[in-house]
Amino acid sequence: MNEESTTDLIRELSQELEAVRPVPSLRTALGMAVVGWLAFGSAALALIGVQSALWENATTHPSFVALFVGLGVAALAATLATVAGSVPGRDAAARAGLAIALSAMLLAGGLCLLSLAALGFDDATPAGANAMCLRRAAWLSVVAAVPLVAFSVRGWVARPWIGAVASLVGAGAVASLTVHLSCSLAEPSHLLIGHASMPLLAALRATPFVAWRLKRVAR
Amino acid sequence: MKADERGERAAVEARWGQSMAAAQAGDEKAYGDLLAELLPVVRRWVRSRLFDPNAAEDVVQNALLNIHRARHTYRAERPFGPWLRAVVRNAVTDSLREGGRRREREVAVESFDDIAGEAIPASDPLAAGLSPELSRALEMLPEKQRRAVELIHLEGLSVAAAALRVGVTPGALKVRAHRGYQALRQRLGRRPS
Repeated sequence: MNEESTTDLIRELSQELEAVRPVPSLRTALGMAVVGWLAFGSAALALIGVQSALWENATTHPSFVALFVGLGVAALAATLATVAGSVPGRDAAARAGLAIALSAMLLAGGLCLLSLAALGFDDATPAGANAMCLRRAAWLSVVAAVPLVAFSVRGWVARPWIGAVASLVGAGAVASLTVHLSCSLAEPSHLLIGHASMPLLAALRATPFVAWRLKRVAR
Repeated sequence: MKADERGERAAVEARWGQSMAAAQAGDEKAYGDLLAELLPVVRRWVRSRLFDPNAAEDVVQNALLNIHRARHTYRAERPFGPWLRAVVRNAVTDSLREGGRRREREVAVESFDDIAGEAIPASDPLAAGLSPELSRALEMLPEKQRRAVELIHLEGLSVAAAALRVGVTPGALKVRAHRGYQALRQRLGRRPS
């Protein structure tokens, strides 16, 4: 490889130049994502219904509120990580987003665990309830992941694995949040297994596939 | 770095950012001038990270291709320097990561001469300078492999330029060319020297 061929390459790149539309700013992209999440959540809740005991659960179960906040923060932060990760030079924002998302999930999960411990690890969850909520969250995650992966693809996929983890944690958190608002059960064990675990499960199960797709797009 | 040096560098990077914004709108001249200005900077960064000077120019070209492919991700209100450094750093990281794997699976471009059995100047037209045996063997290659071999060795393009022409990454093009060389070697019964 010689320097003359590099000069030739520059000439070719200039001659083949096409106009491109810049990606939206981080703030705009995040705003679009929030609007999208609200629309998505509203549509999903219109279909499956908001739980009737929402206010009662929110005022009597601290773990319920903690998980709501934790999932909300995780969804926002993971979305920031996804969008920032697809723009060169925004690595710090991407790392911060992912760290905040994972910390929020850990904190919320930890509070659920403490509540469970306070009850003597007495699990009063009805049989099948965990599986039902997880199934719902899994399906909603698939839909929620599409715009996040689309953000990554629109940008520049330099780190496909991190992009995949961020988008799946974000999608899982949004899906879990929707299920959380529709499920009337507030037992800490159910919140931990049926609601809080989906972001992590989504990341563990689907990251290799999503990363592979992002790598192919990057080529 | 002194304050006035920092100020000068900031002014230069701001000018690059404006050029990139013009390039995003399709200004070929601004883009060509920008890449020409960036070339010595990119070259210096890459050479400071790689020990192999032969591989450095390859990575410089990959970095320029990265700049080209990622140009839509730059926003004019953001500083140009961090964007540029991230793009170039990615090319260097990919090179370091793939270096070992590439050495295992690829054959140097020059070994095409071993396969051809005679030196073929890169400037010769495709139809001239090839033995009938070699021409037939080339025609029997899968199209992607044949195209890779033709672009790199018969048309004399750099790997990066050939990759751009075909629309794949340089790494993918090298794999195609390597498979083409292997297939040619098998058909012509030549052993690598």
